[in-house]
Amino acid sequence: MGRNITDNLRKAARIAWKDSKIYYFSAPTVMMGLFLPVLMFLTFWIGRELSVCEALPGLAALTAFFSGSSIGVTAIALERTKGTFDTQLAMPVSLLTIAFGKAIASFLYGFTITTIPVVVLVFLSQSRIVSPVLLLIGIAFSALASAGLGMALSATARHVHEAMTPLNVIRIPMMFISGLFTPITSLPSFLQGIAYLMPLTHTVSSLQYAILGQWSMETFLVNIGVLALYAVLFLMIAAKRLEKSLEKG
Amino acid sequence: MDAINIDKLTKYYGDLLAVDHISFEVRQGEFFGLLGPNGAGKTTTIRMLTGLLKPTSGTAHIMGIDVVKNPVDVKRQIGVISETANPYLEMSVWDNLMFAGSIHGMPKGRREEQAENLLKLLGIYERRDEKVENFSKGLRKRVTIAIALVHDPPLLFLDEPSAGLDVQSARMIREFLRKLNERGTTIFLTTHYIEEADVLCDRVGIIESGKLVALDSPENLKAANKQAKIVEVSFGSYMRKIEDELAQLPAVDMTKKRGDKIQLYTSDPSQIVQELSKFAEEKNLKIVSINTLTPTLEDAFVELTGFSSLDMERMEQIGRLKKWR
Repeated sequence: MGRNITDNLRKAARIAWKDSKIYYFSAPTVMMGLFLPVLMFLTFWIGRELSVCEALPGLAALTAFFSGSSIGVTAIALERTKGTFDTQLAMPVSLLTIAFGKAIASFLYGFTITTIPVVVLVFLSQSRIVSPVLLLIGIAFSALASAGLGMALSATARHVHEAMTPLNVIRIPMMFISGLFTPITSLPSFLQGIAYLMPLTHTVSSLQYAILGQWSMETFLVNIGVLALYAVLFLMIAAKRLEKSLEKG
Repeated sequence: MDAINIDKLTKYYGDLLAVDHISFEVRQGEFFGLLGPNGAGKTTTIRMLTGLLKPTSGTAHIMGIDVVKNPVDVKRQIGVISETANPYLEMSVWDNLMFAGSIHGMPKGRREEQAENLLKLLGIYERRDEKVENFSKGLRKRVTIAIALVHDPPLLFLDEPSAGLDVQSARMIREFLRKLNERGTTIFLTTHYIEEADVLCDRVGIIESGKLVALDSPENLKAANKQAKIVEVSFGSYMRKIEDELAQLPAVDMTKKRGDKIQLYTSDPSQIVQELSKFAEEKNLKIVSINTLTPTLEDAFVELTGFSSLDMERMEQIGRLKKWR
């Protein structure tokens, strides 16, 4: 049992290494990854009377959420188009391990691409944040949930647009009810209920605590727990949908 | 224990029956070919056997392991070279093999040794550090073969291995497969190149509309083919008018153009030879060559499926055009 888990983790790590090499840590993807949060930050910051520190949770939440899912959602569809997904499927590895390995690569990218600009901005603006450690934990779990979402949506996709369209349909409306631009308490009550079900809401809330000290440690722990649950749930859905795709051929 | 044992294997795509309750076994060390026209169910069968597709019903065992219940264990026993599977183009040849070896759980030293041997045998060792995207289709196929064999599997599946390859690459791959089989590896091959199956396979299964319609050695299939007594004649160059006149001879059932030669299908070859010499004398033609041909595997295939290899090539081209569009 223990040996089996170690074996699957080792295989997932190899898949993550391969995906990172091919899709994530190439010069254009890294450049786009760094460019995107800068644009997002400026969109969020310009015209609002916010200090850099006050804008940081929004920047970090959007970057973690968008970068973690954007590339990952294309990886399976691209591999199907290129014929390399069949090569992977012919190897002795379970579908859950494949989904997990791909999610690790997506997570590493999301975590790195979010952490670098946040650290640079904190350093340049001399901002004081409440807890750098909790900030890294918040970014990590947000990137993980986001990577899982990308995997769940792309598992049966044969072309990139088949995965990208549902991803945008889900994540763009999520931005407006996650407490990023408007406090959740100011939303109509039925939207508040939906907002608390959204992973991005928990990303925003956890980062607001880690950077600004808003809310409480208990809320932070609930946020992290919900994000972890979402990551596991999304991975299970990804594996199930991959299995379903094997029935269709 | 059989290398492959299939019992009533069936696959539906919605209402479409793609593979219809097929049953057969492949012995260890055998070179087995599954022949059939496009859409007959060859690829669906091979995808079910390699765990890339779930059967609707029936069972399949690879080296005694159930394909549906233990797909990961099955994949440890097999190498797969599918028409649709490609190496990772963005990675080097060497990295592709190291990745595959590591997923198979091979220690670093062993996978390096195995990769070196395979790449030398396939003639691409010197280019091991190049990205696969720089390679031609034939060289990419060699990389795919190396990936499939890096863990030294006892059973190799090949789906249309020479489709779209130049003559030299196809010949090289056939020679490699023959040597691999001589060394003891069981090979399961699907192809629409009938000659390829004829020269490589110990036994051939013919599949048509999802049903297995024949299963025997190529020689037995040829011998069982009651049609196809053929006399081939050449008058130095082909003339349409002559073929039409030959078709009118009493003993001739059918004629076919084969390059500069004309094939005459008959149930009585000796009668044809007499009629031919009289025909040549009357028309003042010189017979350059005359041969009685034995039935080919293609003749048996045509009789069982109604498709010729030319039909299959056309269908293949139409399929490619549709994909391209």
